[in-house]
Amino acid sequence: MTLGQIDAKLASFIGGPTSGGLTIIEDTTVGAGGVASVTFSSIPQTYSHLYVVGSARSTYNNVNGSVLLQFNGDTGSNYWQSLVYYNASTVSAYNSMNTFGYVGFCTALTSAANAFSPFYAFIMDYTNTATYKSWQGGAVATGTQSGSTGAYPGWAGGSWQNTAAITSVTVLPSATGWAQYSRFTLYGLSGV
Amino acid sequence: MLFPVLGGALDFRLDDRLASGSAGNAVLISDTTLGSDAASVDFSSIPATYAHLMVVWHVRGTKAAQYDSLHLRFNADTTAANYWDCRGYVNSTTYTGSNANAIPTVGWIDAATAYTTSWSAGTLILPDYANTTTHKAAMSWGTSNGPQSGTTSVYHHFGTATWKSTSAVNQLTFVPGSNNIAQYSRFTLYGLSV
Repeated sequence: MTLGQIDAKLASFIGGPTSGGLTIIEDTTVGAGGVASVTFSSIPQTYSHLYVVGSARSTYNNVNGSVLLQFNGDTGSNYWQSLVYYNASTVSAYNSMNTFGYVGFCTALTSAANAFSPFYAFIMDYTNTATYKSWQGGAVATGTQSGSTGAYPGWAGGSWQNTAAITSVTVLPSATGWAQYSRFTLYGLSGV
Repeated sequence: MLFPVLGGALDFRLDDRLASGSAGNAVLISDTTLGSDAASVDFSSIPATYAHLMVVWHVRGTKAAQYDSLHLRFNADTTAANYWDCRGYVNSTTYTGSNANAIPTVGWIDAATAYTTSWSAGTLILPDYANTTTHKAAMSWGTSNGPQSGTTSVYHHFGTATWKSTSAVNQLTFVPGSNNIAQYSRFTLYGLSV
């Protein structure tokens, strides 16, 4: 049983929704050997919004990777997104349907040693069964820490074209997996 | 600890649930409002017991200009070579990027000749700050308002302040690009627990 599930049970016994605005659901630090992705499953349906935050490094053999989201295990091309990012003084944008939702970019295998990228994502009104679900987030790839190589600050938002309540969130890289010591924390935000 | 027989995380959850007025998993560590101009704002002896840190600020500088930069030092380290400052900022539709070994900029702030009584808002998240294996990187946003007329001196910042050290972060110090941080500026530090 996850902390989030314990929390939901306690809320049902003691009353709630919660004693504060931000409640831990689950916290995962990647162990030796890395993982392909991190999934928060059986998410309690008791919060208003979700907040994912952490520190990530991809094992992709590149100077930067990506931080991506999928909901409820959906790997179809059902994610509309708008991503803005920059490298040196060049601004770029990506607006497209895809099989995942962008959060931003992160360090990867050939980035500077020990460098991990901060990232966050809000997933709004995740239990609403009348609307598509939207997210907004950001992440910064710091590259080689020499000039602008692989340096990509970026932020994104989008819409998962599904009205189902979100019960699981997967945080995945664009390729390969997450490196050891990457950390992912999911919080529930109470609005009432 | 209200239920010692249960142990570990469940104790924490019960205590959290039953504690009247608890802030949940966003825990206030320190809140500072300046009573007079100050060269810096410092959060020291930060407990290593949280998963992540968050800082929000409402700041004005005293530099004789419409805006200034706001910088962040980790653990009182003043050596520029120990940092990697990866960021960008936008004024109107003009974007400028910066990548350098420098005491990192975490936002732009209003300064002495900005609109009267205008203070700048900004936020910062520092994940996994107590990890002793990885370098630390904070992600931040912060916007100056200028004269609150058109786009003059309005700068939006977004970027990452990387401290190239595996030490746990126990101190955060905010300093302006020049002069002081003005009276009434406020910084609040939260720990995000798990």
